Amino acid sequence: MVKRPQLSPALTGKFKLAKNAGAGEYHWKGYQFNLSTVPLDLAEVLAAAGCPYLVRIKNRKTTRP
Amino acid sequence: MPPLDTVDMLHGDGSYNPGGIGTVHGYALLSAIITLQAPAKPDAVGATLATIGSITTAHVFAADQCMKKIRSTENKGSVKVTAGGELDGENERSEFKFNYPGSKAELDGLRAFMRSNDCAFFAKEADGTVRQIGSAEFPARLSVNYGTGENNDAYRGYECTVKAFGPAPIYTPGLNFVPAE
Repeated sequence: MVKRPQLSPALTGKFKLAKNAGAGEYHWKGYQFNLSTVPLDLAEVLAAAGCPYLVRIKNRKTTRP
Repeated sequence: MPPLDTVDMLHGDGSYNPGGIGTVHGYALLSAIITLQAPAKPDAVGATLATIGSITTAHVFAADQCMKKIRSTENKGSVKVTAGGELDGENERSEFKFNYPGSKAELDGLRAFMRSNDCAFFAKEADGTVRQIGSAEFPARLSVNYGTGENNDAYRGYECTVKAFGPAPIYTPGLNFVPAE
């Protein structure tokens, strides 16, 4: 079985792949990127532009009793 | 009440608007796509001008399938959509021209293969906008001319023309070269 590429380690805990999206090469709105190697700063730019392949992981607020 | 809200058509100062096409494009066999999305019909309920003119949801490819890349030489190609038909029955015809450099068995093979296989091409414009040529009703057809040119003043390679009836809607998901799971 072929091992599929994983999302860039730089995005761990901050972004995840959108449903049905794979970690690979995309050309979107003038950006050309590979989600298995994309750096965090570019991922932030892509997310801000509405990239449909990345989903930002929301940090849960912890409340103390 | 009108069937949909029309909008102001403006072109703001500083709008980025380069002409021509980029150098990497995509193509796919329609048989590799499980769900081929389409723009909204003009008379569809809830349609907007933007959804009539674009495909906003990505096509669903069969497992391990995706678009394939095709390179083009810069400043030697274009996308053109031409209105046609008669009054009250008007339609469009789309054409995507590009040049592929070199002399390669694979492109010779693609030329022969595409004669009998339905496909769609995804042309990337100079600003990154992607337009789809070919649809379920009117698949794209690829025709290819090849020439070596002369020694000192010519282009050695393929002149490719993709034609399809219908518009060339903007494909907002862009080019996706990741095989589906």
